Amino acid sequence: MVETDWTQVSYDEGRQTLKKWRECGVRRSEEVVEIWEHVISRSPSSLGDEEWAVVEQVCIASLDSARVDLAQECIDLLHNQFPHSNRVLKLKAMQLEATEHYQKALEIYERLVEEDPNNNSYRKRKVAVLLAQGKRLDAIRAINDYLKIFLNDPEAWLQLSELFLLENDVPKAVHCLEECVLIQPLNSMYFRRLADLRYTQGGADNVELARAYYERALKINPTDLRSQYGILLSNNQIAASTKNATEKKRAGLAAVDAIDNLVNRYQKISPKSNPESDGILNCLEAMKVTIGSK
Amino acid sequence: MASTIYRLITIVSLLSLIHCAYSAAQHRFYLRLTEQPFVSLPADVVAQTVISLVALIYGTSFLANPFQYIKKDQHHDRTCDEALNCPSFITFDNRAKAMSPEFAMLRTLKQQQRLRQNSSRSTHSGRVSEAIHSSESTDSQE
Amino acid sequence: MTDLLLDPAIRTWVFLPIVVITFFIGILRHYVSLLLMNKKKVELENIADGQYLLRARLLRENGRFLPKTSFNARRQYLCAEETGYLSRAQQRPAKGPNPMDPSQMTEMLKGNMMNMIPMIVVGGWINWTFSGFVTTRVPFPLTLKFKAMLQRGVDLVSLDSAWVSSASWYFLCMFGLRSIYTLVLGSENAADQSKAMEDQMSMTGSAVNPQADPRAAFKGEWEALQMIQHQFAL
Repeated sequence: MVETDWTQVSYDEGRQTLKKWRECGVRRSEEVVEIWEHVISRSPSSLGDEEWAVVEQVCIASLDSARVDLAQECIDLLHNQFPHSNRVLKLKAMQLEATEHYQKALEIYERLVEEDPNNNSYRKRKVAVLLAQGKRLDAIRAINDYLKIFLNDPEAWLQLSELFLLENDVPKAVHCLEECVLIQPLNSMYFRRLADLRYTQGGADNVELARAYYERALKINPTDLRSQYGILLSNNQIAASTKNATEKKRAGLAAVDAIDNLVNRYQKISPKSNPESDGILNCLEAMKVTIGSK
Repeated sequence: MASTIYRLITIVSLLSLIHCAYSAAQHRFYLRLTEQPFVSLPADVVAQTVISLVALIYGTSFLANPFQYIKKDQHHDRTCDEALNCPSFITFDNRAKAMSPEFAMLRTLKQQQRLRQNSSRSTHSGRVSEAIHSSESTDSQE
Repeated sequence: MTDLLLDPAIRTWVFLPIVVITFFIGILRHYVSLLLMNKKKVELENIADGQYLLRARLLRENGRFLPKTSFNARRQYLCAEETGYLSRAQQRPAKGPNPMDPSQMTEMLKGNMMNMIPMIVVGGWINWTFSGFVTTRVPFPLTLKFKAMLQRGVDLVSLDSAWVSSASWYFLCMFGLRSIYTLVLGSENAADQSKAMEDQMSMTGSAVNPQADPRAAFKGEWEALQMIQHQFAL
């Protein structure tokens, strides 16, 4: 992994990177703060239209890296520009959350929800307050209530599935991920995760489902290495556990296929970028021999 | 740079198309003046129109943003961290607090408050005030 | 088919100005209606309804990625006799458009006014200003009946019906520039008179129009879900 020194990038590059992270919803808070402080803050007005979105992004990132001073600066800038804005109020409430004044933050969110009941971000922040306090069960209940109204929010379903996994409740987590799949069927990440969960659940049906999901994830995203591994493992499992001879053979062949693909991929990587690739290659060759002999 | 060539091609073909339109209008005007029936445009105008149209399409397709797949997976170049992140549910309860000086101050303040409560716990008024303070502190700490 | 030669001055001083006037009046209408119309306050229940309808549709389209048990469980949740959401929603009392309701009436009145009055006023002014000559020719032949409508102010019996006056050119522009408004003003523009139905297909909490009867939509989805055969596609 190449570590870029964010203090030395050019203005344009910093701006493009911030924009990319903002659109993808990436959580690289310390790097955002670095880029802001060393590169962009020298002339924030030349950001033009994006200026206030960038300030908001930096504000959240600074709250995340416990830079209370920078967060206060950003909130002041935004408040001067937009004095009666609900969005700025939300940021102020997030600042209160970060400094552990959860009760006051909750009061602000309740007020915001009353004022603007159609905006779902305030309800989500209320859930986040519960999460920060560690009240997972309350948070689960709160997200369930939220989802009764705003049914098609894949982020909320994803968060709910993470919470269920923290409670070790895999079937419910699977249910939530399936909802995500319904909403965005072309997202390979959901399929991969569903497949992981189904494989964890175990049992013949689930492992077959897992294999189907891994194949689908691979079809949507041919560069995905994890789904390739997933195919290998699930085929291995099926070959080991099934009684049907033709099934066994097919699974075995598919597993060998998967290993070949993996070997191809790893051979293209030079040892400099991934120092373990040689070891992995040896491992894979060994697996091929054992699976092929079954 | 490559895009200047394409930009040049696009602009030239646009100008050429406008020129074709103008020459077609002029041709018809001329025919009207000399009272000849209008049958078709002269061959060179037609040829110029077709060529400049093709060049325009060619140039614009390079100037526009790269083609997207019809069914695109947004996450094909993202790590698990980025794709499974739910930014609306972000919580600020992480290790950064342990390493920042302002939060160290906050923590010492809270510790002092707790010490004061423990010392006043022996008296009755101390117990009452402790009950009040403990409910407040559970709100702010949890 | 007579081939009239029109004065080029008509092209410069009538044809193009009418287009320009129509265009700018449309934009003006859009901004004025933005000022006058207050933001629609959408009820939570209507949002939930819209979302459930969207979910039923997504279930139908993408249900083939789920195993049979999950799909049937979801279908059951939505369509079951007493407890399914769609069945319960169909049994709610009907709330048709209510003309007695004062707030709804003012909304309707305002909408109609914004659309009709400018059209009539400007059409009349154009008719008065640019009268007495034909402006343009429509490229297809018309019957004689249209002459009375399209050739106001020009009383030539033998003139071909295809030659129309400026008022009809104005009306043609008005309807034709609708797609240009979409380009210029974005998709949400009040100059476009055909956007009466709200778009139900957007993700972020778009609600069922309370004036349209939602029960028909629920019934449609319910029937569609009952009919679908699940086939695990992977």
